[in-house]
Amino acid sequence: MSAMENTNSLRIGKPYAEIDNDILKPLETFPTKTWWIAFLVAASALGMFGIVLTYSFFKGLGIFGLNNPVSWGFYIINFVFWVGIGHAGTLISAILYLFRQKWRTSINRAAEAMTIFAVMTAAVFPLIHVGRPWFVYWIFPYPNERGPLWVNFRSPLLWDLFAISTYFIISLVFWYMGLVPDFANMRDRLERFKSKTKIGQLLLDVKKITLRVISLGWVGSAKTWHHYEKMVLILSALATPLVLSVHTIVSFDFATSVIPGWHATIFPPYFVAGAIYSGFAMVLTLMIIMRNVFKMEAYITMKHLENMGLVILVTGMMVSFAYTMEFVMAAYSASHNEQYVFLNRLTGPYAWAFWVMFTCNVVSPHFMWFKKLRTNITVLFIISIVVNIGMWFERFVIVVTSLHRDYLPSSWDMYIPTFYDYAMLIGSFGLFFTMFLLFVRSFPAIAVAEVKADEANEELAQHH
Amino acid sequence: MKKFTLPTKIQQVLLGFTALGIIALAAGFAVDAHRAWAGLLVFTFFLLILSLAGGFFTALQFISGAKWSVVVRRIPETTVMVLPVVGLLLIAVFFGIHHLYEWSHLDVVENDHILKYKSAYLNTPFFIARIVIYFTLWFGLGMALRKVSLAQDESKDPAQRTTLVKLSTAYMLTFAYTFALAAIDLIMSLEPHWFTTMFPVYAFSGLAYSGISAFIILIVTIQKHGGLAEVTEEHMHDLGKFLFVFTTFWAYIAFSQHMLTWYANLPEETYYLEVRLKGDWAIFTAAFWILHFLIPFGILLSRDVKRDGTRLARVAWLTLFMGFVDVVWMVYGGLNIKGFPFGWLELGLFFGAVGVFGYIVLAAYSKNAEVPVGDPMLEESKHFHQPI
Repeated sequence: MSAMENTNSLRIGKPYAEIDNDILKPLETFPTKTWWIAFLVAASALGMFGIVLTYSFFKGLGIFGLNNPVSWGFYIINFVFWVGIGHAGTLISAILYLFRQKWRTSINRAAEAMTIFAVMTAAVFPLIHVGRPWFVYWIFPYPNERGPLWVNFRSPLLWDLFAISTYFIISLVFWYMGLVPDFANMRDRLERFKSKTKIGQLLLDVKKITLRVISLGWVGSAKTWHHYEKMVLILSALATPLVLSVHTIVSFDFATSVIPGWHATIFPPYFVAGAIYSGFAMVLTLMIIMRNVFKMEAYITMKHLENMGLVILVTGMMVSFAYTMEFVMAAYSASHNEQYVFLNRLTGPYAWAFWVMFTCNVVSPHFMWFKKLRTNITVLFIISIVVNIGMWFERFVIVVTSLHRDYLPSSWDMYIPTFYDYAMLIGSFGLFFTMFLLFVRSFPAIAVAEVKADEANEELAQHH
Repeated sequence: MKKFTLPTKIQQVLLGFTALGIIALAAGFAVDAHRAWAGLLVFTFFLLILSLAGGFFTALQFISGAKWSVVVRRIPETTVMVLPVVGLLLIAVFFGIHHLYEWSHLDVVENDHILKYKSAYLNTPFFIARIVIYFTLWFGLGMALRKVSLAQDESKDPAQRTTLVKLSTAYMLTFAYTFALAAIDLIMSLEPHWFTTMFPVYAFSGLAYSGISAFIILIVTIQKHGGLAEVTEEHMHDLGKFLFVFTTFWAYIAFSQHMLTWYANLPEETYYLEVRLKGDWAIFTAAFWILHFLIPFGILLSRDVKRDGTRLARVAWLTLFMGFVDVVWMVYGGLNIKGFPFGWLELGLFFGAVGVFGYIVLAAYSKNAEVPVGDPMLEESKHFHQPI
């Protein structure tokens, strides 16, 4: 377990120019075949997402598997799933920063990007759900001429809007601020590129001007860095409570109700632990792909992957603890409804979903106890995907099994997702991966300046 | 190996506090036995969480591979020595079981279908058996951690750290589940119809909050009397951050539990809050939330306070006291205590708890090296600086 220490040197041992070249290579060369294939797959899924979405606007919600007791289906499951994924990025950049976990520098950029894209993907679902997305601005409380018509401040769904939009804005600012020194680096490097054709030169000029604008006149002086470091510290302190607040409020969507299986006071910390669990699993999946495709083994080392494996182990056990408490309390409660819901989860028609969740979330992280397994890329990759399958099913279990058997057996119904539900689920991955693939081609996927700063510090420490 | 010598003055003060606690309890039994039994449970549970917090904190340091904390680790390692006293107190609580736990009355259970249903779990023999099991595990693992760490002082064997990490992992997992169940058994079942899934986490947040407060006070006291010269303002800063974190964590957990209970407004749940917000309790609860969270939170935002042992210890006295009040809040609410829930009895018991805990921990602490001299990370911990 002592792998969380940062004694083992994280030194890369390359000249700074080479670090620049390595990390910025994907941005300065024409995309590879692998990238194109991945992009086409993701973009097609996104296309399907758009088509199904448009179709649902014309046809209505009837095309989905929703019915009377199960009035919340894949939409809310996908929403919670993607918001959960969006937790790791700002956790890595803010909380691990405050914890002085130096290993975060190689992975924070991509993780933050993942956060932003995951939150955007998640936001699509409530956006569709409001029925008329072109009136979505109505959910913002401002003096208006519609009555005046105010939003329902007592609804946790509205708190969600505040929590998630705040989180999104701060994460975006965090991400952008981290990018500024790297943009300046790219801007300076661009000087060496020349194009033979006129159109090529024009495009290069556009790129130069854009980078000049978005790097905000960064000069990299000691004074600039001093201000910058202070800003990162303050932003981290502001972002830390936000990381926790988002999934806390998402859990309120369920926990404020009186539905057995939803109304549980342990939901807030339990959802936050689950979100970090799934977020780290997704970071792990993406990092393993990224380091292989872009040959970044020198930057995203085994140490990084192992540490993420350990975070998965710890958060996985926290989630297991929360599951246990729910069952213990249901058994202890002597409340018929409460007990029935949990018994139904174990043995009812959706028991398969529960056991998928149990295997993926409760059993699978325990492989991470063994150093051999958590330093094995194949095992880590499989576990990271298994955990996210489990976390998707966790939300399925919470939403569907709690709803499908209402208080009155006459209102019971099964929730059977249709082709369109699955299309939306796959499509959401399309949306996410399209954005992520564009990101790795247009932004430095590793925080170059931070990695170099750490490298310099490590070097100093070794000379001592 | 430098050892701390416990000044006689401190010993006398702590023994005086203990005596004060005993007198208060004896007077309590003479005046209002029902309240005194409740006070005894509060006293017992408070000492229990303080001593378990030591194991939790030690295990956390080993699992996370923390190096800064090596110089302060001996204090939390020592708190397990209080557990035997807690064991005796738990036996005393067993004698008062009829005064405290409604479910222990067979006639009441017979006429209450919920309690009848729960009697498979909530019955006297099984209750005692469970407590004995938890206690054995806590004491066994806590002592094992302490023993290996003390043995390392002599052997200076760095490999023993691996053993300690493994023991810590075992401790943490065992602690998580047994403490959750113990919180249900000892405290939640005082109101046997009531249940909420957050409760074990709430009890844990109180444990961490009171525990870290006690460690800060002990460390500063030892320093004031010539010990622990290795602990600098840098370590104080981190301890202060810990206190800040657990203050915030408690508020988060308490808010989540109470807000969700209040919002859903289910009759089977809300009466827990209702009894704590009526009559004398309204002021008590409001003051409790302000003093337990708002004030320490505001003060602990300051970097200067966290780096100054004397000032940090003042805040820690407040939070330690509020940690005690938290136990009063949990226990008294369900027991129909007459009058204002905090009076001379509770104040006396708080002093008693400070006396018992402080005396046993400091006496045990002064028998061994002040800091874990065999820990390979000790030098690094001595030279620790807040990285800014």
